[in-house]
Amino acid sequence: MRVLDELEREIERVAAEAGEVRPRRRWWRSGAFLVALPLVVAAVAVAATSGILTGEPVKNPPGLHLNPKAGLGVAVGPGKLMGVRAADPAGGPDWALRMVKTSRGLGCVQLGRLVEGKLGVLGRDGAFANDGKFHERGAQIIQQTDCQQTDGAGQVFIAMSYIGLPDSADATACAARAHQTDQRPVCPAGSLRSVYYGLLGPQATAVTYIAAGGTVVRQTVRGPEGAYLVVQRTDPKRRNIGYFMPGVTPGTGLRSVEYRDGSVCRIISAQRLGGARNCPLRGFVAPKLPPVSHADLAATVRVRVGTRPEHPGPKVKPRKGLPPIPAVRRITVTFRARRAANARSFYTVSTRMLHGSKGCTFGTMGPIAKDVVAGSVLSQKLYFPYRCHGTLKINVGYTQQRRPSQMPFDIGGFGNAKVGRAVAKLP
Amino acid sequence: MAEEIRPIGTPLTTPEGFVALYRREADLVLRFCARRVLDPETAVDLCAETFAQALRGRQGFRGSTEIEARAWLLTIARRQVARYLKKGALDRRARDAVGLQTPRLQDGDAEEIEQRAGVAPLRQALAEELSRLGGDQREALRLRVVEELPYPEVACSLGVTEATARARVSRGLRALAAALELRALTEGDPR
Repeated sequence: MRVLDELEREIERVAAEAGEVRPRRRWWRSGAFLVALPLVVAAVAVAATSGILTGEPVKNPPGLHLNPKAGLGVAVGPGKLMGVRAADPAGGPDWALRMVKTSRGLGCVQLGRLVEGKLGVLGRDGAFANDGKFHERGAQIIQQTDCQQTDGAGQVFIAMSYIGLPDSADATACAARAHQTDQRPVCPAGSLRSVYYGLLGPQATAVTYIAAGGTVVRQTVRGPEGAYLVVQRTDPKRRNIGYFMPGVTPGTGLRSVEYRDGSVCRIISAQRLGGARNCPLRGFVAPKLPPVSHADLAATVRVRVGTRPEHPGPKVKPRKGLPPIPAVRRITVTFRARRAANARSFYTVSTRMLHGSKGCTFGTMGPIAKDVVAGSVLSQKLYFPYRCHGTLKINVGYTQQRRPSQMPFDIGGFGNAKVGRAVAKLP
Repeated sequence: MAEEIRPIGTPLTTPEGFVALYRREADLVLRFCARRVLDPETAVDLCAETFAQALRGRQGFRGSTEIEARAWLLTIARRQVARYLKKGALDRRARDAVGLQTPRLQDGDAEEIEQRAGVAPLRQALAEELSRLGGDQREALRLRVVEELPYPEVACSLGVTEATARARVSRGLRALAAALELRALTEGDPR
């Protein structure tokens, strides 16, 4: 039967990946419990088949307060482990992906090493004091979590490129390269990986990439999400490392994407500067959002300009050799939100400095990324260098994200002033 | 009918041994699930979850014969079916843990599963046995199982106490199970 044959291939794959295990011994018959007892009460556990010791789970940074109604929201449920796996060039546990949905309806991918069906990091390259253990990273941990707005059918399209990720899968423990402001130790030579991963949707069937020896490798994407994952050693001669690029379509790390209809998107094109071509998001369902005009949103925008120099945020002791952190001026923008807002339809504030003093002719753009009830008064704080003087032009807009963007909460441009405009003088 | 007792050639703890188990028993497990949930798509999900759970727990299998392996597998499947019928939701934990993708049904698959599992005769048998039940029990079963009403509402609809409604549903289910078991014995059971 076709469906049983397909399931058989999956069983063959996961059984081969799981490998051979020892039958569980009946330890109470052998008296081995006398030896095992001290181990049972020890704080560590040994993963049943991997032979890797398990340590404490990864935690979110101290002081982090995630709001289920703001920003990306918080992870809902344990997430779904994708079927895709990638071997590390140096061996050890496979790399794997997990998809989670958040309380604000965004879809995220989480990358890590896989031990006993759990996603996490390895205690090496400075992570967990190089204890050599496996540390599970739960779905609610923000580290190595990248999100996108879902499409109208709830599907997630996301493509990530990480150049110079430590093979521990913990990007926070060591620095890919030495930098004046980075106090972390530099990652050991040869421990960095270039990782390309994401979800290409239901119409993608495979991706191709160029492996270390120059051969072209074809990887079948997994599941209706179209999950792919490529892990390679980062070229030790490469200088620009230790960064990641989010998006909805793969970058130059891949060579092509294949689709169910037989079409192929060649990402690398010799005719294009930069080389990367945006592949179509086959299967993307545009969300249906009711049109909202200026007449629906128009409100008075009030601005309060701070008169004192401030240092908002946690107090940071200036480090030797670095200039002190400059003081800033607080600008508070207030308006009445006539329409409700959520992760897909949200208010925006953009500013532009007119006739600014030297070094102060800049602008800012950003979303008010939180759930808003229609009729409530919204207040947004902005901070500008206290030394800057001039006229600040402020636009308050409203964006409805119908099309995918490189990152969530893409506000478009400065011109969005659907709610209103204001001008403030910075003395 | 007695079955030949054959030892398991390759242990289930090896990939080859586990794949061999799948090849031997997949059809049986799928039919087992399909006959209990009467829905091919759900049956495939339950079958996949059963093998994923078996893969995770293969270290704990203590048998040495194919019959024992089958019994162990069907116990897992039975628990899966019971959990599904109780909660109305499919368990995906084992599949997620081992990264097993469940194949989607395509044109003709559902019909083939129903045919292999003998779902159509089973439905017919179920209808016949239901019609043989007493009117009170049949109506109680219809309200509770088909309409999925809570017991207080079943009792209210039947004009009896909640305890009586529970007793009617319970007796009706037992009578149905016994009748279907008898049919299986006399007509041959595809499991």
